[in-house]
Amino acid sequence: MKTLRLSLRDAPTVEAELALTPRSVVGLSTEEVSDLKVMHGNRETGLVDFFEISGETADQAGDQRIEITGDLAGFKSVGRGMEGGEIVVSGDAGLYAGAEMRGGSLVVDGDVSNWCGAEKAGGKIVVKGGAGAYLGGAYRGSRSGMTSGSIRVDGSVGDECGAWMRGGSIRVRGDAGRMLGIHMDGGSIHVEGDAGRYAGGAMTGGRVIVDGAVDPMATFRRGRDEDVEDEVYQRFLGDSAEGGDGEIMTPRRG
Amino acid sequence: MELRIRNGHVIDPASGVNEVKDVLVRDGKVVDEVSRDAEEIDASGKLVVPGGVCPHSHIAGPKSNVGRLLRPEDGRKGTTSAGPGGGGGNFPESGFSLPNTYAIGYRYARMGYTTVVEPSMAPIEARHTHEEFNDIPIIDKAALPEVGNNWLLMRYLASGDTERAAAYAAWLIRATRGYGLKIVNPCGVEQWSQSGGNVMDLDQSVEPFGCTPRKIIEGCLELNEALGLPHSIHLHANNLGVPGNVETLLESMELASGHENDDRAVLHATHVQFNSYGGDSWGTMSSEGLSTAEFVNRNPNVTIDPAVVTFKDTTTMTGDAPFEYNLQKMTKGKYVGSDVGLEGGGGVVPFEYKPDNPVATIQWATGMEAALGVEDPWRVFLTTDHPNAAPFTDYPLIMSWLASAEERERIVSRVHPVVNRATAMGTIDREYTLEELVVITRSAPARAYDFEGKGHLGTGADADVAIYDIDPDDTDPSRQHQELRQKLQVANYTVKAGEIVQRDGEIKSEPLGSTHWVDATGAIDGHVWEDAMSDIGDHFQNYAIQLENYSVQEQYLPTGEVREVGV
Ligand SMILES: [Zn+2]
Repeated sequence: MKTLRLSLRDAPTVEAELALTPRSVVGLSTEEVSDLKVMHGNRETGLVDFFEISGETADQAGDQRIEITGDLAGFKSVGRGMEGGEIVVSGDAGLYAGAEMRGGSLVVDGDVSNWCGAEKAGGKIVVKGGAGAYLGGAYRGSRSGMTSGSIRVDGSVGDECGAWMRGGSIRVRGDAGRMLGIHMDGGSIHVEGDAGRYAGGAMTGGRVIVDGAVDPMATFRRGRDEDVEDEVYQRFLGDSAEGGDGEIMTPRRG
Repeated sequence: MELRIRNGHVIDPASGVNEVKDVLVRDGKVVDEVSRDAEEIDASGKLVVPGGVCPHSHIAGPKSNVGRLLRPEDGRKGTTSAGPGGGGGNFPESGFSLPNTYAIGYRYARMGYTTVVEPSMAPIEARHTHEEFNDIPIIDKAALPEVGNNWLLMRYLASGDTERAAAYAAWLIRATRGYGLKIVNPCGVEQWSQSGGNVMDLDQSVEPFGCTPRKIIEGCLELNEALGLPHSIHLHANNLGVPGNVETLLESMELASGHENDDRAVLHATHVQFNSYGGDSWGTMSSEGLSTAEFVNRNPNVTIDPAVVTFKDTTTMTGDAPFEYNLQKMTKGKYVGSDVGLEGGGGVVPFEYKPDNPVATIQWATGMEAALGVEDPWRVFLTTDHPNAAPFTDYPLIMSWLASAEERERIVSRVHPVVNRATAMGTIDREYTLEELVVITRSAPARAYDFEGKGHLGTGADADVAIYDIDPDDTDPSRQHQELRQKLQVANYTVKAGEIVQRDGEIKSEPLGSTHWVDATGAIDGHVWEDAMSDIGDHFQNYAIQLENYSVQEQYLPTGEVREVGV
């Protein structure tokens, strides 16, 4: 594993598009990496306009680690579409972090914005802070959210987490917003805190587990209880409004 | 500016040319001579043809925008950035079945097309249509206002008052800066708007007008010729998309008999693939594409376009509101329907044609059979009814299918086996020649619209030229269908009004292109005009818009070109 280090010097003044993945740097010299294009608003700029760059590049994406220090909240698409290797961000990341990812791992120490891991088809995302809306979800109009791989968020997540999810797993240590797993058809979401209204709405498959408070809608029917991690969980099946076969699980209390 | 396209193999069927020669251009027109300073394009070993003319493609107006809003997932397909390294144009492109306005101009230009007709403009939405035209670069444009469910026209034609109907039609075409008359599911849309449902045959009356589809089609045939409009009536027949509907189409086309025009057909039946089904249910549905083609073979006053399906995830959009309403009940997905007060309606529904689906397979065969069955290529024009059967960018693919029986056989072996039972695809060995492909994509549609400067390269023609890396003397389209498709997809050069607008896929220049419209009000007698204007004034009390605000002002057509008839 070779490590390339980027240290944020100048934050963007408007949102910038950081089209940087392990694959995009393999085999490049540090100078060539410095020249990689960054769209800054309507301006075409280079990586070097924002970052101090050091370290080495590998011969293939799987052997490449990229460590980025600084607050990347103003950068969109951190690790978007990455196929292998590692990206570690010590700070926040903006929209689309790890979206459309197919392999490798992305670790963000801070918070991520909306559409983190959207439509991802592999790989692992770890967010040590919280996440915005549409975590692992589908882009507008699309009927398929994440299909495989995993996402872990240590904080809380926004609305429509796992929207149109087809496979893979999401684990949220905090709470989830409204419409958790909406239109979900496969995979699993485990929220350790509470879920907002309309959890599992229009879901047709897959499993939503909520350890805290959740209020399954009237269009979910009660199923048989089941043990999950040594605890008895109530099981709700639906969403019957969509003829669905999904599950909402929540611990049986009292 | 002068241009010499040197030594290309020119195929210009309208001028009877199929030989190696130079094409000379000055000030946007084809000329007999240029000076020695003329810019040169070496076209040795290449095919040189008139710019493509697309006779039916939904490229502008509210429904295009509704489609874009409805389908962000389509907008994300086909995105490129602007400038070199992207598409080369001044603007980024997006969309597949619903390209953004810039992409429409760029993509047509890449294929060597330079003129496109938007066939379905709700009159009250004409201003929006023209505003979008002004955002579509490069290509020339024209639009046909819809009249098949127009209250005032239905009243006139129900009572047989073709004179005033003609006056109103002329007024409407001028008010909308339109080019001719489009009839969409006559009476059916009004029926749906009132109470749901549709009309099922040519003699079903819609009240309180007492009007029938037959009266509308017959009346429009008559007034179209009385006005001397450059294009025939353009008919989207009743019962679209329904098994067994070929009977309705044949009966509708039959109405053209008895009407004559020396220069063109009198009735154009559009997207006949959607109207040429046999059977009486989805289970018994079959292709009757050949029946439609045979009708055309027997009736020289009718033309068709097929609307060939290419098995893509596309978007349907039409003024046939009841059709979209019913389609949405099948897809159970996204849908927008609209009632356009006093004039018609419309709808938009995403639709994916899957090759393993029996209906989509029959639809593919129906369009192909219609195109292959018409013996005279001058009476069939290449379309996909963009984006209804496929995006227009699939024209080269369809041209390769028309040229290669071998390739069609391969597709027959891959689609749903219903193709063997319910279609004639296995029995057709006709292969279009290169020259015939030029006819159905240029010469014939240009003649159908009487676009005088288009579809040929004779002296005085508009210098709209496409140059492809195809040597007609050294190409067997039947065997080299794949190569043919690739080369037709991206022309080496596209020249628009004498200017190189596209080269090998990169946009080089983006003039706006002209909007062609027709003023036929000169064909109306003074007293008839006054009576009709008085009726129109009364009729406008029903509108939510003032008469003065209805007509599209000329400033909305900065590149308008009016064609005056009847003066
Ligand atoms: Zn159409």
